Amino acid sequence: MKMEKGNEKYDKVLEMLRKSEPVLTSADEITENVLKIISGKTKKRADLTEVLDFMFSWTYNVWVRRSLITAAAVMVIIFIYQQGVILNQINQLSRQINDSGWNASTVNMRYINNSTLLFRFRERLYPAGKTDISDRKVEELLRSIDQLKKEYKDLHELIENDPELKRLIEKRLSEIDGNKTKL
Amino acid sequence: MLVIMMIAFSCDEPVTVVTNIVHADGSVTRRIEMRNTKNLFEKSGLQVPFDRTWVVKDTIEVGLKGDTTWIKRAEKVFRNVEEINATYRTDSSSNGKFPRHASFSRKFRWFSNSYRFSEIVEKRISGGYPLKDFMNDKELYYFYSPEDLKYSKLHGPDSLKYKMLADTIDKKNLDWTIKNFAASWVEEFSKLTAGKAGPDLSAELPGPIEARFIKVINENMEKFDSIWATGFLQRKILGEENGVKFKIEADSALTVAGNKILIDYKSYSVRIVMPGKLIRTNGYLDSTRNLIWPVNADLFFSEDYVMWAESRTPNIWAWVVSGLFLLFVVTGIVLKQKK
Repeated sequence: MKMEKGNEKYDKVLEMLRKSEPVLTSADEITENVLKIISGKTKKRADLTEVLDFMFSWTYNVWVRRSLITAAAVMVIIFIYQQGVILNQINQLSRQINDSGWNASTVNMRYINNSTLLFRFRERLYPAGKTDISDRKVEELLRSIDQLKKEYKDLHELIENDPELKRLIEKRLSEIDGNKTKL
Repeated sequence: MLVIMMIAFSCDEPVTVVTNIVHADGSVTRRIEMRNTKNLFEKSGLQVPFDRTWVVKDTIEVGLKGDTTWIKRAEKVFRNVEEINATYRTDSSSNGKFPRHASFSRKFRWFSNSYRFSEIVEKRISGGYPLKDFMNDKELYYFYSPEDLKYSKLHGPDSLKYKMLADTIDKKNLDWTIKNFAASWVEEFSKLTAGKAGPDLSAELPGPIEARFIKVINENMEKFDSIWATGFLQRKILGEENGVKFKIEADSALTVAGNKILIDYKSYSVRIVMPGKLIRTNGYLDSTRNLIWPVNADLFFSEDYVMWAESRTPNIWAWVVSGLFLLFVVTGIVLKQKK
C-alpha cells in the first residue's frame, strides 16, 4: 500500500515539473553575449594575421624580398667560409706541433752560435786585453774544430756507406739517450 | 769544444723567458722569468728591460744533485703595446741598442674577432741577403728552432739525420754570414768613398767587389786579420792602385761591418699567450700547444725577426643575431609560399 502511494506522489511531482516550462527573461542579452564570444575569437585570429602580415609584408615587395634573401645567403656563405678557414688554420697549426719529447714550458738552454766566424774574426770582437784567451789557444781551438769537422765528415760518410754500421750506431745512440733519460 | 767555449763566454747571463699574455682589449701581461746558476742579475747583463714598476719575486730551486738555481720573476700589466714600446725605447739592458717593438691589432669579423700580436727585433744590417736564399724550408725551420728542440732532435731517434742537417746548416750559415759581411763592407766602403772613387771603381761597386771580398775571406779565413793588416787583401779586392789609395776607407769599412756582425747579444726566449683560440703562428709549439720563439743575434741579421701569433674569439651575440635573421627570412619565404 505504502509503495503505491509513493509512486503516485512521484508521478504527480514529475507531472508538475513537466508542466512548469523555463521562462527566458533576457534573451537579447544572451544573444549579444554569444555573438560577442564568436566575434572575439575571429578578432584574435584577425589580429595575429595582421601582425604576421605586417612582419612579413616585405615578402610582397620583390626588391626587398630578394635583398633579404641575398643578405641571408651571404651571411651563410660568410659563416661557412670563416669556419672553413679557421678549421684549415687549426689543422695546419696541429701539423706545426713538435711532438719530439720537447717541452716549450721548460726552456733551459742558452743559444749557442753556430758560426765559427765569431772566432775567425776574434781580434775585432775580443780585442787585445778584453779576453783571457791567448792567440795560441784560439788558433789551437780553430785547428781542432777544422780537424774535428773533417774527421766527422769522413766518419759520417763511412757510416752512411755501411747500413749495418749505421744500424748499430743508431741502436747504440738510442741506448745512450735512454740511459740519460733514466738518470 | 766550441760549445764549451761559448757557454764559458756567456755563463753569467741568466736563461730568460719573456711571456706576453695578450688580452682581448689589447692590454698585455708581461712576465719575465730569469734563471741563473749564480745569484747574478745585473741590469747590464739582462736581456729585456724591467724596472721598479714591475712586481718582482725571487726564489731558489735546489735540484736533486744539490745544484742551486736562482730565479727572478717579474710581472707587469701594460695597458697596450705602446707602453711596451716605450720601455723598449728607453731600454738600458744589454740588448737595448738593438731596436725592438711590439704590435697588436684586433679586427672585427662579424662572427668572430681576430687578434694579432707580434714582437719584432729589427735587422742589424741593411741591404743584406735573406736567409731563404741560402736554406730550404726544412733547413730554415731547423735554423729558427729553439735550442731545446734542436737538442731533442739531435738526441732523438733520427739523430744522425738531424746531425747531418745541422752540419749543412752550419755551413750555409757561415756562407750567409760571410756574404752579408761582404755586403755590409761594400755598403760602408761605398759610403766612405762616395765622391772620392773614380769611375773605374764606382762602376765595379757593389757586384764584382763583393764577390772578390767573399773569395778573399774564404781563401784567407784562417789568417784574415793578419793578412788584411798588411794591405795585401785590399789590393786583391780593389786592385793594386785603388787598394793603396783607399786603404784607410777599406779598413774603416771593415771595422764598421765587423762591429755590425760580431755583436754581443744576449739570447732569450719569447712566449705569447693569445686570447681565444690560437689559429696561426710562426712560432714553435710543443704537444701541449705552448708557443715559443728563440731570440738570438743570428735571427735578425739581415731581416727583421718577427714573432707573431693570431687568434680568434667567437662573437656569440653575432651568432644569435644572424640565427634570428635567418629564421626571419626563412619564415617569411615559407609563409609567402603557403599563401
